[in-house]
Amino acid sequence: MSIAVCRNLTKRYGHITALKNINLEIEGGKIIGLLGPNGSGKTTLIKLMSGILTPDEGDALICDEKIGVNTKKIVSYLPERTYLNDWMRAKDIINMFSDFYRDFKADTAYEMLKKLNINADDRLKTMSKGTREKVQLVLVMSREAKLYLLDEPIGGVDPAARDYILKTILNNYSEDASVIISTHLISDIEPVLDDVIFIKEGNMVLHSTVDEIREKNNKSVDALFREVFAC
Amino acid sequence: MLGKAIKYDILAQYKSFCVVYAGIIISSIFFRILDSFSDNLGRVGKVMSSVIGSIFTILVIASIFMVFILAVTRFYKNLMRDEGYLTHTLPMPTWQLILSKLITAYIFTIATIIILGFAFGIFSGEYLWLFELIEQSSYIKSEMIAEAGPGIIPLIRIGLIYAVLAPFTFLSQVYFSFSIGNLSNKNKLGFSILTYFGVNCVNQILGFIFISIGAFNSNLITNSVYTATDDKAVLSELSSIFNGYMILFLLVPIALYILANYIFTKKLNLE
Repeated sequence: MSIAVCRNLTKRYGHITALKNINLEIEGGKIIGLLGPNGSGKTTLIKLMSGILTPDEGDALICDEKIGVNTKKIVSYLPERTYLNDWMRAKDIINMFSDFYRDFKADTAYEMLKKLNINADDRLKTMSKGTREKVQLVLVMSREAKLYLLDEPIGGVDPAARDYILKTILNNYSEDASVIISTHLISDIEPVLDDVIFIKEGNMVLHSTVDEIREKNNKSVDALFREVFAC
Repeated sequence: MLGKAIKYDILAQYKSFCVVYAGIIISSIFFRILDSFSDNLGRVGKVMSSVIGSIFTILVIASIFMVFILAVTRFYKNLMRDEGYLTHTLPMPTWQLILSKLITAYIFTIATIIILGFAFGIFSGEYLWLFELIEQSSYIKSEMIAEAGPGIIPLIRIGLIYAVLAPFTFLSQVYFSFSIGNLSNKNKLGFSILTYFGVNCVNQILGFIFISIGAFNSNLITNSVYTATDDKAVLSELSSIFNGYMILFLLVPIALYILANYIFTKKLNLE
C-alpha cells in the first residue's frame, strides 16, 4: 500500500499557481528528498499533505484516507517555522504531545533532548531559534508515524547538529514509514535519500530513485539539481 | 480531545488572569483596611484610600476587557499564526478546536464574575452581600412584582439569558470574521477586522428589523405606547418581543459558528 498519493493536486494563491496538477505516489520505507529552488512549491506540497492548506483542485490521500483527523494521527509534520508556545517549557510541550498523539514516545524525546544538551526544564522563550528547531525536530521524530513531513529540518542549525539530526531521522523512523524532506542543502542529505522529487515552478519535473539518477546520469543528485535548476 | 484542548487553553492564559485577580483582591483588601482607619490616618490616609480605590476600579474594568481580549488574541495566535501549524495538525476536528476556545472564554468569564463578586464584598465591607441577595431573592421578587407587575419577571429572565449568550454572540462573530480573514492571501488580520465590522453591522440591522416587526405586531404600536397607561401590560408586551428576538440572538451565532467551522475545515489557508 502506498503511504501517500497525490492526484492532480493544484494550489493557487490569488493569480499565482503554486502547484500544478501534481500526481505522486510515495511508498513506505523510503526517505524522499523534495528538492527545488525557492518558491518552487515544496512547502505548499508539504502543507497540503499535512492539512495546513486545502487544495483548489485534486486531492491528497495518506494511507488511502483523505486529509483529516485520521491522517493527522499518522502524519508527523515539521514546519519551516517555530510553532512552539513561548510560555511552555520543553517538558510541557512533551506532555502536550503525549496527551494528543498516541504514537508519541516521551522517553525517546527526553533521550534525544539529553543528547542534544537541551534541558527539558528550560522555557522555550529563553532558547535560541536553532535550539527551538531542534526541540521541534525531537518532538516530530519521537512519534511513530507512518509519514514524516519535514520542511527544511536542517536549514537553521549548525553543521555539527545537522549530522546528529540526519542520524536522528534515520534511526527514528520505522521501516514501513516514509520521510519526505524538503531542503536546499542537498549535499548534506544526499547520503540518506532513497528517492528524490524535483519541483520547478509548481510542476514536478522529476521523481526518481537516487540510484537511477547516479546510473543514468552518472551524476550526484546535487550535480543534477544544479544542472536542472541552473539560472 | 476537547477536554485536552481546553486544558492547554486554560494553561496558556491562567497566569495573566491570576495576576489581575491577585491585583483586584489585594487592592480591595488594602482599600478596606485604609477605609477602616481613614479617620485616624487623616488626609494622607484619605488620599491613599482613593488611589487604591481607583486602582481597584481600573483592575475591575481591565479584568472584564481582558476576558474578551485574551479570548480573541488566543484564537488568532493559536489558529491563525505560527502556533496554528501545531494546532491544525492535532488529531481533532476543527469544531472541537473552536469550541475549546469558546468554552475557555466562558470558564474565565465565570471565574472573573466570582472573583469580582468576592472582591466587591471586601471592597464594600459587605462580605455576605451575595448570600444575602440569594436569601432575600423571594422578597425582592415579590417587591418587584408588586411594583412593576408579573411582566417584570419574564423580562428579567430574558435579560439574564441574553447576558449568558452575549459572549457566544460576540465570539462567534469574531471566529467567523477570522475564518473569512483566513481566506485572504495578503492581510488576514485586516480582512478579519473589516469582516467583523460588516457582520456586526448586519447583525444590528437584523436585530432592529426583528424587534421592529415584533413591536408592530404587538399591542404596543397598535394601541400606541403613549396611550398605554398600564405599565404591567407594556412590560408583558416587551417580554414577548424580546422572547421572539432571542431566536435570532441564538440562531445567528450558531450559524456563524457553523460557517467558521466549515471555512476552517474546507478552506484552511495557513501561510
